[in-house]
Amino acid sequence: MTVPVTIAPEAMAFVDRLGQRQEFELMINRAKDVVPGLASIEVALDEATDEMPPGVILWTHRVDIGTDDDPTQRSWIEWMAATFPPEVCQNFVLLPIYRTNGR
Amino acid sequence: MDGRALLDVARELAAGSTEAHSRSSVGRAYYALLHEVLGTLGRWGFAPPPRDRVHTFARLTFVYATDPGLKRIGLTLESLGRLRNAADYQLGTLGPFVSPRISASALNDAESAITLLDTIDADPARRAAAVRTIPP
Repeated sequence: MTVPVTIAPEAMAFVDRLGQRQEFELMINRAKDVVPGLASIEVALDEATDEMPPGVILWTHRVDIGTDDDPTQRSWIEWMAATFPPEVCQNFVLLPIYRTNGR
Repeated sequence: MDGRALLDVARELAAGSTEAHSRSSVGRAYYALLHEVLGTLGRWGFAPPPRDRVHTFARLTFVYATDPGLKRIGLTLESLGRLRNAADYQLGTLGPFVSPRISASALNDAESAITLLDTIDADPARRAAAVRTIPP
């Protein structure tokens, strides 16, 4: 099944400014493989706040798998830590949007 | 008060029935982990920076450590920080707060990271090895 991926232009521009498009594409492909119940991926740029610089969020729209504890996030972080240097890790996060009742 | 005490509040909020409860719970989970990291770094001899830089200090000190456990804790702080941004600054977008499960997920991730931090801190040999991997 093909998982739709939408990327906000400002997020893509940010990735290109970082020179990390190859790493970003690897993350997208990895997410397609490992995120349970994945329906789509929406990539957005999180603007800078007082506490954090700008960064890219891979929002994973998911069918709620209904378990009390979802280890996906922790597994993802373990893979990120093992795969990329901090200069890459610090710019990207993956977060879930659990769909309920078809929303 | 220890930062982890905020987990109890995060848990109470996660049991709430409204979007506001979920958003608030995510913020408490983030701050629980942030303060545990700051407290641990203080005990390990890393002086905290001025208040406006503590978020970056806590996050990047661990993200740039080569110890895999510390790095995972730093990246968890990064993820919870981004989620907290959505919770506190993007009220016009329902986003992840369409489901109350997001607050349970954030709570579990913060708890797991604090447990890992405790494990590293409680073992003198592992702690010393981990601290050596933190860049000056």
